[in-house]
Amino acid sequence: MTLLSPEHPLASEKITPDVIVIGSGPGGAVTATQCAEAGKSVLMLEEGPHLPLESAPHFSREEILQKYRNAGVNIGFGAAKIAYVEGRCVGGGSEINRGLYHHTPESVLDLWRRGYRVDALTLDELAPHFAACEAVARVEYLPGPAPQLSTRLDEGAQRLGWSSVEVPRLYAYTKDAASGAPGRKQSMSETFVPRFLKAGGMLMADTCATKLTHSDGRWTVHARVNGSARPREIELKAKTVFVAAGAVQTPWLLRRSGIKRHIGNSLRFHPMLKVVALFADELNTPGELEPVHQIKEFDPRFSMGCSMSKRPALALAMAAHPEMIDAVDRDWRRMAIYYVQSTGGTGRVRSLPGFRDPLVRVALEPSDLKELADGLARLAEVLFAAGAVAVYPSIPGYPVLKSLADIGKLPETLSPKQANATALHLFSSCPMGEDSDKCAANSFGRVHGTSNLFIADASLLCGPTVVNPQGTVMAVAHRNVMRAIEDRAI
Amino acid sequence: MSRQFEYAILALGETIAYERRSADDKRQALGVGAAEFLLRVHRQMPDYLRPPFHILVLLFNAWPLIRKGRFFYQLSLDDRLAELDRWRRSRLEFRRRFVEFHVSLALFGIYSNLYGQDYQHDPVVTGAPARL
Ligand SMILES: Cc1cc2nc3c(=O)[nH]c(=O)nc-3n(C[C@H](O)[C@H](O)[C@H](O)COP(=O)(O)OP(=O)(O)OC[C@H]3O[C@@H](n4cnc5c(N)ncnc54)[C@H](O)[C@@H]3O)c2cc1C
Repeated sequence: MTLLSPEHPLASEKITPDVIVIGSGPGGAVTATQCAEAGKSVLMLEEGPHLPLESAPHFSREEILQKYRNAGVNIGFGAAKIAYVEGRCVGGGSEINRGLYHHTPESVLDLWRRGYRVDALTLDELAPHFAACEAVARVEYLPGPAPQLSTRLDEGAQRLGWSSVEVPRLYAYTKDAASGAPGRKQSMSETFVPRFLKAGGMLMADTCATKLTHSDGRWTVHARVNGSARPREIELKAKTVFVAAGAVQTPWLLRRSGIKRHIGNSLRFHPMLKVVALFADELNTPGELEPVHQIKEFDPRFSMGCSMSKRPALALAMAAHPEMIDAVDRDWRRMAIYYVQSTGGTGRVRSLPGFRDPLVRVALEPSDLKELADGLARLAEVLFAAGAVAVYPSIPGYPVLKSLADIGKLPETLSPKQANATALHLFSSCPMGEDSDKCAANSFGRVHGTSNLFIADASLLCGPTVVNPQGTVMAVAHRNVMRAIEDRAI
Repeated sequence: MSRQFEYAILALGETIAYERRSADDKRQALGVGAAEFLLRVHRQMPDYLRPPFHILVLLFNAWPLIRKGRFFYQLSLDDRLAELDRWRRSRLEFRRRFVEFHVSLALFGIYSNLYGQDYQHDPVVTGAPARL
């Protein structure tokens, strides 16, 4: 096993791997592991630090400072702004997410195949790749009953006759109940990354790729090593490069490198609105497991679920109703956070000369805002059916809803200025497919018009996944790298 | 980051901690903790946002000079609370947004200090592999 770090400065410049993978999130970690296990010498670069899973509790202040890009402050600018979040550490988004896991819906794959002319992308064709990833990163249902804040949503849905499901997670629940831990999240740093290292892969954390150049049949990755020492610039060479920096950073890097065709023009996301629901009885207790139910009745228009609802998160979600902050101290056991997320909106990613961070512009059409407003009303409806006595939309200036009748008081649509939407799921900024009028890469991720340059992350997905995307990101990355290995393209 | 900027954020953190509850002997420490969190966030936010946010904080700090002849951080706690409220109710969107941004983050910081124990887990037994 080889673990490179910026503390070994000389070693990094001397190595000449076959393959460099940029980014260690689900796309990058799966890709790098397959290449290493196929006998290639592989170097994986990661801009963020290499931290253990337990370096910070999930969704805590410490985690945000350690593992989130820009401490979670990222804004997609437009008439309606979107706050989006990305991971920035070894494992990427898989370290900070809840690991709610789905296979891609068949209808979504149909759309991608037809709309972008993607070859060999039926659910049957993806199935072995899902299975291969699940053999490394375990996916499990909760061993016992779900937490009440989750089952409440399910009960509300059942009362309304809506479809609701318990979603499995990338999680290995513990066999040893006495150990005091609920189990291990199956993030990349727990699963694929150790496997990659075991296969001889080399990992350089705290190293940001800043530009790619190509000459004499080789790629040069220009990078900045941050680490504890003073930042320094390095150049690394390889025949093949996979860019897996995530749906915002991948187009940033490619565009900076002069690779711009259909790169960064078609970012998509799942815009999300949150509410705090207050119930008559207690349902939120410390140490509760993560909520796992989702309402699928309105897919693909919008879906609903329950968020982690610890007191700091409640305070954040309640910030739109400052008069209620004291109630969080008093009534937090009777409160939980729920969300609705749709699939509307588009965005563009651009690099700004002289700055590290990309500029993201987003556009939510009136129909997208109306969809979100409808979703919000439906969310309130199911929460009242679940026994909520009040619903507080996390939108400044929005009324508190005390009964079903109050839902009629909600504006028909969201005003762009007020929207206050966030996005955790980002994709499609460099879509794959054979349609050269809109695709950045071919059906298997090779960037059109280049040799041995691949994209291997959520950027490749042709549109919103409707469901939580990490399963799709991993399966598509696995499918693509296996094809590249079979074709001896690397 | 300039001194004035740090003073302003510290005063803002303290004011938000005081606003949260009328009586709590931990408020001073909570305010400092909230301010430290806000400073970290400012340091880590996207590089092209840092200069405009820096200027906004300085503007917020200097705003009371017109009415009171003092910077925000030099005001009494009551005057600071009133000033924060004026910004919160302002007709100018950027002032309202400024308060929303800092108050929500500071509250997150304060509640993290108060309720860190919420993150502890109880043990559970193993789950069934998902059949998808
Ligand atoms: C808070 C949150 C909750 C989520 N919840 C779920 C969920 O429950 N279920 C689900 O399926 N999905 C969830 N997601 C989405 C999921 O995490 C992403 O879809 C997935 O992580 C995308 O993988 P990726 O490989 O495309 O990119 P990322 O995970 O973003 O990984 C990219 C990596 O590349 C690194 N990088 C970027 N630029 C560079 C550079 N220039 N040089 C070197 N390294 C670089 C980044 O630091 C990062 O570590 C959630 C996401 C977030 C943020």
